Amino acid sequence: MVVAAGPLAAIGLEAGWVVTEVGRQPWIVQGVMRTREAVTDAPGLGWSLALSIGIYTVLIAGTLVALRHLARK
Amino acid sequence: MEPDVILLGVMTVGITLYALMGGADFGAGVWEFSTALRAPERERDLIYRAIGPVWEANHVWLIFVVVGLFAGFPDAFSAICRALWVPLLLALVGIVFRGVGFAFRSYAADSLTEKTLWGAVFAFASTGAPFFLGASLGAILSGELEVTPAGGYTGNHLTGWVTSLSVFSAFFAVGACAYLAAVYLTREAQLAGDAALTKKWRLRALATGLWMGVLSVVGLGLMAADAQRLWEGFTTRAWPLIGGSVAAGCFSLWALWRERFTGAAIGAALAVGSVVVGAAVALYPDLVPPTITIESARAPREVLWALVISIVAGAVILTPALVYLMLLFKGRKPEAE
Repeated sequence: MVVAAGPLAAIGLEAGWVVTEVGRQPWIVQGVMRTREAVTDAPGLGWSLALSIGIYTVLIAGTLVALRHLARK
Repeated sequence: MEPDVILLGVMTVGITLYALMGGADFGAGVWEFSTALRAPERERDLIYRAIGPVWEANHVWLIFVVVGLFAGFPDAFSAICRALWVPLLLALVGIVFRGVGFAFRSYAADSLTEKTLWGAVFAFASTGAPFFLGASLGAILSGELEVTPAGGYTGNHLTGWVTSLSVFSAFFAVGACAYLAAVYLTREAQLAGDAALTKKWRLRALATGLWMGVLSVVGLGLMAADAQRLWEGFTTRAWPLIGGSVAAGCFSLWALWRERFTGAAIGAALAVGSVVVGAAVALYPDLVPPTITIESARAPREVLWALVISIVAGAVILTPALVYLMLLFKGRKPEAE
């Protein structure tokens, strides 16, 4: 139970975010502005998404290494 | 007094404090480049201890300015975010990885390779963040961003931010950070009673200070040639601040030479701070020249007053806490682990 509590807390947190962000679609500001109207007209969105995913992957890997290291100490 | 002017004044104070305190932290990371691979652990301890646990607190000022711009001058915010999304995103990446490098190096690196790796991440990110923040400010100041008064952007989304002044500002910002850090660290080394390190940092501070003096002259020339609108602001309104900055910069160099390091730190802070305030004064009443002015971009009066009042109320709570934090961690010098 205690071992499962850690990952479950993270899943609970993320799931909550997903519910709020997906749940409010198609509005970005409820009743005022749609997400489609708010999105940037700049090109290269795909690249910045790829960059963000890359950054988060590195951060997750680093966090896991750091946590394992601290747990071993 | 008008609420928009009050708000801009407070935001200028925010940017200045960010430059002086956050800038010194970035600068300490910039110095990691010259110290990362061969410096004795003792030298690095000084840097890491000086940055200490308050360094993340400095980003409060950046967030504060961003929110002030967002809420108080939405059209300027919209235009800036559209035109400068590339350098602002890169600055953000720098700020994130700087924290990551610092934390992982301190807590999770056993081997020398790991320490070097995270130290390098820390150094690159510490240099990248002020570089791209400086570039962003320079791009705004240059008056070459093709923004519309309603907050749109018609220029190139990838390269529109690259102007001669933005490139100069990028290097100037990194240099200013390195100078502040070197002067502060000289003082810290002396307070810690380390004569060898004091000598080392004093030389570094002197060299960077002279270099910044040369760079400042280049910058003024560049502005006169390339950013007439801003230059006019400098020559008609902001010249006392620039004069003050030159005087403070010279004083800090003199104080370094005479080994009066507290005076040097104050002089360096005044020199950098005057440049930031001077740029804001020169920019006034524009926000994003040539098309977006304070008047065209400001939020309705009620919103501005509400903002000013909430900032004052927030400051009453925040300021004592922040001062206490600084006193706790900067006042005494705990030994590094």
